[in-house]
Amino acid sequence: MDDNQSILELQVDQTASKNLSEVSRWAKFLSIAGFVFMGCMLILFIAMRSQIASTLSQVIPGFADVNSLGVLVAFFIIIAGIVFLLMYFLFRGSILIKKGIETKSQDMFNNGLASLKAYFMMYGILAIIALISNFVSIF
Amino acid sequence: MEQNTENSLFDLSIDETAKDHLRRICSWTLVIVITAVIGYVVAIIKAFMPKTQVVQSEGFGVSVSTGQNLGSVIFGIIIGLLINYFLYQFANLTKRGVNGISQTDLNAGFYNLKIYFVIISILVIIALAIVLLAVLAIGADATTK
Repeated sequence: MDDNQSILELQVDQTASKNLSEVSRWAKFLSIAGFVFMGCMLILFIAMRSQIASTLSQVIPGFADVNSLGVLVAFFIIIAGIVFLLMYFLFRGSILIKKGIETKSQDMFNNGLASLKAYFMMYGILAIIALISNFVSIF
Repeated sequence: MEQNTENSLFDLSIDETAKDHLRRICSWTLVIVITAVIGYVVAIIKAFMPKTQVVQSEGFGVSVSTGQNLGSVIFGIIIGLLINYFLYQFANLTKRGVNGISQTDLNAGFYNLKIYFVIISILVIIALAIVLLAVLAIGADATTK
């Protein structure tokens, strides 16, 4: 019975662990690039906020008041927060999966998969929102 | 034989928790692929729509670009389809591997996920290089003026 169980059970064998380690490495790179990109955008936004506001006031009449700039800052903070969370899940997933494989820790490996699941779930929800807004912009 | 017993004792296994996580990952990656493909159709429709819109602001005509060039849309779709093909393969093979208890399919699924991340990372590197070159060019231009 035990023998049958072990034959029928899926394993993270050498091929799978090699592929998953590569996945972790590239996912880690992507998440770090995402963090750096968000940091650069934040610095750029703070440095050029008056120029951005004046450009937008040309396009959108009545944008120049202080409240509109506050809305812009709030919008940017929300976007930055969403991207940061997305990259955090990817980073956490990549670290835990790699550590789980290296130390052969089942819990760590499962937690890594859970983080990767959260990443793809959030990505999926954002993709649906983007698609809906794309549809709306047609009409 | 002894080697096999040792492997099964010390290797990580895809237990019920891992299987559940993998199934959900596959479901969400399929959602991503489907929304991306619908998004490409929307992008093609938008590419055929009028390209510029003039916003009148106190006598000034401010031109705002609202559409994209058809060539750049097609280029983007080709790259997007390539990326999403690997994501779809990952979802399909991993789901088959987990449900059918097939180690070969599971490994092939992980391989496709690796390719997906490699392609995206290469694209990010290219994009970063272009941005860096643009910043350097603007900086050089500013110093010469």
